Amino acid sequence: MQNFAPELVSSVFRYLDADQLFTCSLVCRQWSTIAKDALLWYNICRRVTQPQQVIAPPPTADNRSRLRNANSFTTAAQNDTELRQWFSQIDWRLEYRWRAMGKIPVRPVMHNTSRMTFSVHSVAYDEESELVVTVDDDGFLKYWRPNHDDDGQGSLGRGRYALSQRVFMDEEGVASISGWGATNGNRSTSFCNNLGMCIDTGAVYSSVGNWLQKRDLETGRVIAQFPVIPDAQSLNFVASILPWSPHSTNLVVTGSSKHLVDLWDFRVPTAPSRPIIRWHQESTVLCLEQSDASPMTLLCGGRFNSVNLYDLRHNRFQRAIYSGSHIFSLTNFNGGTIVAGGHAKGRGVVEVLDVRTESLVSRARGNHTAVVFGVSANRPRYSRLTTCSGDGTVLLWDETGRKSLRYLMESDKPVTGVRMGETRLAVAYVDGVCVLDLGVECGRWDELRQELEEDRDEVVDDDQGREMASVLRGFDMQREWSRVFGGFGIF
Amino acid sequence: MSDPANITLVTMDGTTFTVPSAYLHRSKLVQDWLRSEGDKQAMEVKHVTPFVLQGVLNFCEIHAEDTSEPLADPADPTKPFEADPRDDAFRGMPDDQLLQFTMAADILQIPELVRLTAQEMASRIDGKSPDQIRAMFNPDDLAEEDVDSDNEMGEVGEEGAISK
Repeated sequence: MQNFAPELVSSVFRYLDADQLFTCSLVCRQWSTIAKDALLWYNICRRVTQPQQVIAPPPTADNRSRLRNANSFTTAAQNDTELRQWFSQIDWRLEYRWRAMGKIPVRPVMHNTSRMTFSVHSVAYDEESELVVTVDDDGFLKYWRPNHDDDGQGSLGRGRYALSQRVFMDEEGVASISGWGATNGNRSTSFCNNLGMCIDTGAVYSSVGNWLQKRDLETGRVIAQFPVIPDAQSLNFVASILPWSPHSTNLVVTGSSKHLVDLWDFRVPTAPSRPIIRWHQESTVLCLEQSDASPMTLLCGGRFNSVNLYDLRHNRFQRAIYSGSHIFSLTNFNGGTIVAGGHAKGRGVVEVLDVRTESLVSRARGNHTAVVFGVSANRPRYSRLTTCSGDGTVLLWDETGRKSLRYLMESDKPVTGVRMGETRLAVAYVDGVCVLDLGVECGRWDELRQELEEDRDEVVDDDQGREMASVLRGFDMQREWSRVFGGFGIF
Repeated sequence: MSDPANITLVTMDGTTFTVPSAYLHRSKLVQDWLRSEGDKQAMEVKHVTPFVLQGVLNFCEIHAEDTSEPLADPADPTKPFEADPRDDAFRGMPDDQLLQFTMAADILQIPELVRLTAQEMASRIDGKSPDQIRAMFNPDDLAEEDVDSDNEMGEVGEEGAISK
């Protein structure tokens, strides 16, 4: 038998699917090396990808054809550093596992580019227009739209997102920008860290320093703005904004670092020196939510150990639900409940509150190891819940909010915000922003529920879970060590 | 440089084949050779036996009249592969012959034949265990290289992991 040339092997391998490729990698050493070629896996990814799913095409048409015609990546990117750089952004073998094995069945349809070298504090997402708005360190409000021209793959669907607009927050000279960088990875210490988005009226509400701004969704032009300072001397950074819908498109509730929750009316933008309603809190207000079950109830959470309920109609304090954790984010969820994400003594918690009974329903700890920065459910059905955390993970939860189903994303940087649509999820993390397509996930929802039913026996309470985790970690360490020493022949 | 009507190909053992050049218009190797300077008497096709070259030329003869566009990407996932009934002879051949045809197609750089044979090989690999694949393609080389690689495989992996 003659020698089997490597090029020949890889040209045969191009017709194999992943399982066969894996089998072939066990045949001999040469085949094993060839089967690891990134280009093979890139092509497999392209093959398993549904038309509506998206693989970012290489930057230029020339590069695309080069990748198509080459048998291995080394020949394709021999003298092309640009192509090599683009290609090496993604580990295609891992990508395949994510896509096909259902490990992480989501696809990024938008990724940050090199333009983002700062932390994104907050993200807002309008699924209908596919518009993503982000707020970040460098003082810009950024609008991201899918770039349809970038496609070039025809049936492969949309191309990547591209920055369509940058709005410098200080364009009107209303506030100092000097403090933009000072975030320390902590949402509440930054100047501009929350972004309310009112889709119905086509407006974006954002805060800059002491100022509250209402901008047109399409153009980013300022419609109205006014300062929210309690008095002229002190700074009062707005940490959370909630457009009060649907009763009025001009009412906005803000929570601020001066422990205040205010209700403002945008119809009198020139002199709204006084809010309509003002409530004092114990500490910084980090999040606000309007209850879906009883629409005149306002919930606020922050650096205090409770979630406070206010009745807006009668302008009175309703009830505080004490849980002992600081709440960073609130969202409506299934069956009129409210989900709160935050931390208790540094450990991430996700709590489910019932507004009607005004009580804490359940509390999940230990799924996130760090502060839960964001929780989000798909509006207006509120049937699916995602959370994100400082430990860099994004989790999908079951319909009760008690058990996490799976990881949607793992980043090595803290994830600062999530916004969920019906099928897509916009994620802001310290290095950028991405949009994940949950189409597969939505289709698999029933399957997941079945899995959940089967797993229900295994649900362990918190302390047991911790013990188990430590046992597992210990086991892993042992294996690690025996592997290391075994490799050196000591054992 | 005028296009000669016939091309003479010489195989590894000196057998010569003379075929109309139109047959080989899909072979990049032959086209490059025609474009190159120098002696155009006969083209050597190394590593190919007369039997295999005969088969390849048969393939070329069958497809000489095809007007389809030359394949840019033999494994383009967006273009489904349709089996051509004229190529059935290639699908039925034994493993070692198929292997040689694949190599010949690769040497002569005929994308259509590469696709045909590589796909056929891939379909034969499908569903087999590594041992069966070894028996299929590589019974001789196995003794030299692969038996020890089986034993060392784990160790190699671990060394790699440690060096990282």
